[in-house]
Amino acid sequence: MTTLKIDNIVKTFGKKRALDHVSLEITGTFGLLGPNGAGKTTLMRLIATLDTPDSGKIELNDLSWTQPHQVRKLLGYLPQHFSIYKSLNVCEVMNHFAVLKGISEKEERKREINHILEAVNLQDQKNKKIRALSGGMLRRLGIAQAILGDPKMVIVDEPTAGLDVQERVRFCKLLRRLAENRIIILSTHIVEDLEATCDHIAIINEGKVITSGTRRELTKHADGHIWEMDSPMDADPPIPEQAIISTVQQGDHYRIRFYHDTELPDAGQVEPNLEDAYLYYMKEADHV
Amino acid sequence: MKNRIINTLNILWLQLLRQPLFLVLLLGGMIYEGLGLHQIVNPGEFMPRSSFLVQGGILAFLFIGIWIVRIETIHQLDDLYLSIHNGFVPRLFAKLIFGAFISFFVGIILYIEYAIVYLAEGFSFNHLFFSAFLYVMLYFSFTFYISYLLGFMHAFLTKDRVVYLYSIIIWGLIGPANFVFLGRTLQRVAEILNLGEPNPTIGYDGLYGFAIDSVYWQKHLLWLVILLGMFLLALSLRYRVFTRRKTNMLFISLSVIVFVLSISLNLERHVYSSGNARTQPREMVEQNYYSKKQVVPKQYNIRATSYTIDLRVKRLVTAQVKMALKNQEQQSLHHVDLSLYHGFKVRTVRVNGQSASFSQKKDRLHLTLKNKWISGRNLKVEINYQGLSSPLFYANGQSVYLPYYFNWLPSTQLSPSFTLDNGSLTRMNHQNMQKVSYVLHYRGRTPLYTNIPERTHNSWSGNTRGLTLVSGEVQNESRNGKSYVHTTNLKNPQSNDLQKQTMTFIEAAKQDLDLGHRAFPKTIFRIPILSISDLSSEEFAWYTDDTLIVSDASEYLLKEGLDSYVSWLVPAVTWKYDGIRVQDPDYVRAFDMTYAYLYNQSEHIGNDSEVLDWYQSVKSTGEKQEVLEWLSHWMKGQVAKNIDISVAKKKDFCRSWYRLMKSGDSSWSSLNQLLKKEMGRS
Repeated sequence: MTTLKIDNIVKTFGKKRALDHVSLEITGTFGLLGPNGAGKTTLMRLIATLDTPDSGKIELNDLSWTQPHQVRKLLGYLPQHFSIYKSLNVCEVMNHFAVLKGISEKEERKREINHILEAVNLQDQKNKKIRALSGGMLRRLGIAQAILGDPKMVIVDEPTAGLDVQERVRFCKLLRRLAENRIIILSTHIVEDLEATCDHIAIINEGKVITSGTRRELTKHADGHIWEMDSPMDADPPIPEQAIISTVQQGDHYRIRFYHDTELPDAGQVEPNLEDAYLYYMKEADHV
Repeated sequence: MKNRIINTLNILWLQLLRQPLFLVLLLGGMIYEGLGLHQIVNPGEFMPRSSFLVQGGILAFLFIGIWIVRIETIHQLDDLYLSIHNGFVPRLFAKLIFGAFISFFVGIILYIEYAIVYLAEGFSFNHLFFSAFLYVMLYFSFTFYISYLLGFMHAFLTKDRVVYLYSIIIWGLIGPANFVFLGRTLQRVAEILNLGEPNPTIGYDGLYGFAIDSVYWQKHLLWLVILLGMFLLALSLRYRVFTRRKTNMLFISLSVIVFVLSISLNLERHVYSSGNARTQPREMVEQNYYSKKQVVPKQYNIRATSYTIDLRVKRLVTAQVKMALKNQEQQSLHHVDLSLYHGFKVRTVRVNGQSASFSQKKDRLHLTLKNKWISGRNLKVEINYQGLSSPLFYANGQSVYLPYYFNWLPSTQLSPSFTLDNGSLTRMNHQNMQKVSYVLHYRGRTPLYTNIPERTHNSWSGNTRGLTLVSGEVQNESRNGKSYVHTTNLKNPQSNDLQKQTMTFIEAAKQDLDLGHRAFPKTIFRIPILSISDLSSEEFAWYTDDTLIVSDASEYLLKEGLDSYVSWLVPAVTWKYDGIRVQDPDYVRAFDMTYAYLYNQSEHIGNDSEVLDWYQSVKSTGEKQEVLEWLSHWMKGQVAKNIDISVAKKKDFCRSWYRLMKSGDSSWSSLNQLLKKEMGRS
């Protein structure tokens, strides 16, 4: 199995250390989770060869990131803000990227474009101008260009930002389908996206990797610390606000989900999900 | 790489075509050009006066260059393209090529419109249209491309909207109207930065042609190399698109090219420079130089009998001239003075095969002889010189005008090249009074038109009173052994009409003025030979037995300007040919005015109604004033009834007058006596 090794990466912009000795081993579909400004995009840009680390190494099997021209042959990239020329149509855009990615033979290019547009469900829009596409369609076009040329690794930076729920779900399913035989690295601050898509996840905050592992490993860390209790609507809950994960109205009371290290009266322990685990890790990191 | 570039070009082209503003601008440009073409009836005139189109096009292409970047900046596509293997560099090259492509495309469209309009008007498809194509490529396409690059680079490297403001500033600095923005103080800077017509305030010179000298191509190339070099280096440093080795090689190559071009552009050269947008327009250079009178040494009676000339005319004039001189004085001579235009610097002189010492001061060349030069003997002199011709006489890779009356060859007529008369520049006549043998070997712009026959390729020989060389934007018509060289911008050169009118005049003048031998010249040159500050009639035409040079390149000469043509021919065929020199130029002008008026009357050519006002306009006192007043009255017929006012009588007077001039007497008092006698007033 192909593994991307990120070893002790440091990246500084001026006085701010964006990445602080980050080390990861990435295979399959991998999610980078963290708040805004955590360093996710910086790491994605380094992996996409758009910048160079101050120190540390990135390697994919025998291939080092000190040879960016070789690395780019294996990459597909969907940047955070994907947009493209409004006056062109979908087919023209795909054809352009296909040529840029070296698919020079016309028939082969046509086949691949049709296949990919089918996979991302844009076949019916292929003659539509870009300005006529919805946000979700545009994002699907973005992933379509990223997988042109069958790259071994696809980097997808915050792909669902700004999409409605339906589009987000659709997009995540698409990513799952495309993940066969390649590494997909997905960065996001929306936990549900990772739950649907990624086998492995790393949590990043303030340039550091707080933890990484499978979904199960991450949620296991929060085991025993996640509780739920009911609280009347007209009274303040007996839990500090910073410990509350969610508050859901149920009839005439609230069901409060929160984390706590010890048992509380009237509170029942629940099995943590990924969001719980993420917030629990972030809380721990804040207290360190 | 090739496929990526072609595909990107296609994408850019599609996007541009789908921009309504581009099509509006292109159509607007064509309409604006059409209006200009409709107003300017001459294809030569149109190009220099189309600077307004160039100025507008520069701004448009600055913005197109910005737009090419902005369409990607808006979509934040840089990172995406950088992440694609071989995605960034081919796209970049494609954008650079795209700019060249649309610059060329727009230039072609404008040229086709120009060609169609003038060909439909009846102009022949001659060399002028080829030169016009080069002009469009240089001052439209190439300039537009540089503008595009400036806009593109700026937007690419700054990615800030202030780039639009910078573009307006750049537009003001590099266009042909930049002298308006930069003012007189920075006029030299304006000349250097100007990427449009170098002489934007002045009309077209039919002999020189368009300002498409190699120096202007080199200047544009230097701009291109510097811009591309700076841009590629900035890219390499910022985006790591080239390896270090390639970056170093690029830097070295570009440095060498810039160095070579910079040296080349700073070499001394002679280009057409005219109008108030130039720091040293040709109208002023000689005016300033000859404002200080030159000392003319004593004229000894020596005669040139032959010239053998090896002449190379490129950036500089390089000449090796072997002359045979004869001492026609009664005594031996110890030195020789010759006249040579001061721009030609003498390097070596040999006399009778031995090197000789010499000094050159202004237009005078002084040779010191080792052995005395005995009376009646010949002297063989070899002079090597090199330099720039006068701005009023072309001699470079673009155009050659070296007429017999200009001392471009060492002359035994010792007057300087020019003199100033009441602030007016006058060309001094260096013609030989007898025929001299000339052998010419020439390397330079061709075809070369001259007044001696071509014997072999680039080699001419013959006998004449002076050698005239012409090359440039001209063409030749030959008929019955006669040659008619004229500019290529004439719809109807009217060679027959001109020859007929000239022949009629020469025959009539010979008879009326008893001129003696005057042959109809074998070669007529109808080319502009003067600058915008030359106004004297006597400068407009020059005549010898084998050559007539007429300063004109318009369609109007033989239609509405025939009376003017006659006034030019009079001095050329009479006193200039005979080498008559006078103290007061008004003396010969009075003669020219009078005889031209009479000739026009007798040939029923309409005289300008104001021509006779000239006599009163001249500042005069005493006898001069009296002569001019009486001439004026006599020509107008405002005299006593007993005075014969017939044209025949007046022509008789002119004959006597000319005889007086030939005798060497050019005093007003003698003329007054003659006038009184002829009018019957004495």
